[in-house]
Amino acid sequence: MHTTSENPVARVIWEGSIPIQFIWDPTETQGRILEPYFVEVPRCSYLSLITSQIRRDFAAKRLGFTSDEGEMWFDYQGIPLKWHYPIGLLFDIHALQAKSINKETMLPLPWRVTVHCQNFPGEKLIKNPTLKSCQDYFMSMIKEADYLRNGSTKKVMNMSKSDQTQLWEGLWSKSYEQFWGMNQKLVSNDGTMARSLPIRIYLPENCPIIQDLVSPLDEQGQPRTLRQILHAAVPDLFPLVDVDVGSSSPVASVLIHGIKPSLETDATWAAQTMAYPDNFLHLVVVIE
Amino acid sequence: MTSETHQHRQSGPSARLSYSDFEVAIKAFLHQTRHHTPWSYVEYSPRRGQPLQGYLTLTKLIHSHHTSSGATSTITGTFLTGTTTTIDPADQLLLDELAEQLEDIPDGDDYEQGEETDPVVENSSATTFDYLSVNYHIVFSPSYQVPVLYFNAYRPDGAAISLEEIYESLVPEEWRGAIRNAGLNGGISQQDHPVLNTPYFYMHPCETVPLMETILQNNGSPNGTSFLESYIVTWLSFTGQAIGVSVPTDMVAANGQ
Repeated sequence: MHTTSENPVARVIWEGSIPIQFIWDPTETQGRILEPYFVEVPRCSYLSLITSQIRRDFAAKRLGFTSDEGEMWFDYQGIPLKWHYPIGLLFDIHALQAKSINKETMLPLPWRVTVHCQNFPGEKLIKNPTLKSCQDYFMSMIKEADYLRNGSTKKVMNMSKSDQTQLWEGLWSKSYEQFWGMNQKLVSNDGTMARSLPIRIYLPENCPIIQDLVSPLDEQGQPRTLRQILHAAVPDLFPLVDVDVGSSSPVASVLIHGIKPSLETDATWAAQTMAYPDNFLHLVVVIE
Repeated sequence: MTSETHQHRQSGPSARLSYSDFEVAIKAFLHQTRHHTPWSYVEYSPRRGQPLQGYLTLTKLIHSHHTSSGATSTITGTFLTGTTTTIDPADQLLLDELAEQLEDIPDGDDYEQGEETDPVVENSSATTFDYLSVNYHIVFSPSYQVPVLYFNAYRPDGAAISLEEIYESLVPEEWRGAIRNAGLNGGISQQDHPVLNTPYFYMHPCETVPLMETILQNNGSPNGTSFLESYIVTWLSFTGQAIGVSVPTDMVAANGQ
């Protein structure tokens, strides 16, 4: 197994977590006010991975509760949360990005998420948010990232079934060694330069997600920085050079796992180290 | 700019498309199919200050016949223009009328002989006859650099149908096994539409490049333009059949050379 202890940044990211306060939709509890359920969850995890423990808590508090895992869904401030996004990405989009738009100063922690077991909003959320669906979606993202790096999905498709499972099992069991032992081969592309970097950019207010083809090197053959990529995607928010450094504050910045990295960061390094387990570097744009 | 920088643009045609290739291909396809199929071109602004992009949409009624054994066959019906995604109750009468006009052309082996004489007599009986309004989108995938077929199918009451129901009432029986077993998770999945950001089903695109490369190699040496202009017809004739969108055979022949 590949040793991964030399990558402290990846480990810190893996261990990042968010405290969540799950609140039951009062219209679904026959008027009873149930105690919220508090839990600290890994940023890299998915809502579908914690559904069963929420159901257990719910069942313990409420007699006669019946609902299958495919029906449970979540919202934050009335907006349904996409179960196929990593939890950290959901928090950065719905809590931190929205906070930057609304000019709020309070950090919304614990994150107050409402739980529903009825009226699944199928027009807004992908249906059937089971563990199996989540695993399928996760693997399809891994495949897409592989396609971007290599121009085919051969690397993932040629993995043995148990190697593929190791990725998901590592995520599911929160085992850094198990996950990164397998994932390192994928993100480092076995030491060869990727054709394109798997990057998605999330603008505020539900704009279409930006996913351009981004090569690791710029026209001068230099490693591309996050700033160059953001400038190409949204030039008015990310000028290429801060002309008067210090005289004007930047219009926008990006969040990766809740932090604002330097825009001069090498994008290849970021994509290999700061990607979510789905192998995509998810950049959430916040307005300053 | 990033989309062009890393690609070595070959002089000949390529199975991988840039967005501008895709736009040429879908506009050619719109022109070729204008008398057959009312595809429409939808323009959208991907982000402020950038050129508009487009995708194609088609809404089509598909008559699905449920036999008593629960097996089904799909029957291609009348086209509806426009890009409606749900059926308004106000459109219900119109839909009912259209459903009555559907030609009942069996295409599956499981079709039971005795039932095909008069399909519309009991049109109010949802348990016997059903039709779906299917909304198809042809959207460019920047990752895979190919067109991707997105779709949602709705019952007459406007409810979207599930993946299992898609296999049963939209995918012809002879295709089901192959599509269910394709790739890691089957050939059809749900994901967010890249422009609308709401759930749609889609046909997995990761085999499109190998498919189109095979076509390109077996087609002699067409010049780049004609390969691009026939790209969508060729691709759709493989990808669309399984979920009820067909390309007239004379067009495939005319464009395949």
